[in-house]
Amino acid sequence: MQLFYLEVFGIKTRIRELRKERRLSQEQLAFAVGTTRQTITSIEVGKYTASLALAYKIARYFGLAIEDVFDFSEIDEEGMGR
Amino acid sequence: MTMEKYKKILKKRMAVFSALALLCVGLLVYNQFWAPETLKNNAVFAFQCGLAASGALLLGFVLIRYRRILADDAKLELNYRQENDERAKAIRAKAGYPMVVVLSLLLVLAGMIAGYFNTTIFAVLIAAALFQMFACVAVKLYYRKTM
Repeated sequence: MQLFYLEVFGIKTRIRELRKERRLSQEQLAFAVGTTRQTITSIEVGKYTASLALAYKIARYFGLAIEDVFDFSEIDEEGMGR
Repeated sequence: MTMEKYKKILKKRMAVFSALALLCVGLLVYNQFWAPETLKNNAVFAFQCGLAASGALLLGFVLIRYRRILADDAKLELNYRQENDERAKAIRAKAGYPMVVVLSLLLVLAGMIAGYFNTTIFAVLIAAALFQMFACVAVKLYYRKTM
């Protein structure tokens, strides 16, 4: 179920907010984490869920933990699927 | 991967594409001057000439593009990021790339061989290859918008 949720709705993120705080463009962030502007846009609007590696790179770039950048509350509410 | 390694990969690709472009040009020249008259009176022959000409042209464009990328470090890095972008990779995988392209090329090849014996089979195989490639592009465009 969690996978279905991620596939359909994506994960809410704080990337845009963090980017604005640091006055970074999508292109600059994309360059820093080794991806493209289009991917950053898709992650920000929740159309695409970043891989663990990319999520880690983004979080590390902002100096935060993954769960501080990506919102996993919907998954938490669903439980661990056991 | 470092940019130096990526440069080497692009250079290898350029070598392969150059060889293919030369093959296409060679085929065109052969068809134009030395092909037997019995082969020339065939629908497949005209198709083969068109395919070789478009292949040579397309490969030429790709080679020019790669040369420009190799000459500019900023373009090289941008191209590397675009090629290895995880979202782009996911879209390509959903569209069936690269297997669809390989299968389509095999269908075209089979169609060209079969065409010397039966024109209907030739048309069906080429149509199937074209449909497959159009479907691949359509899926790719759809996911580019929605993903």
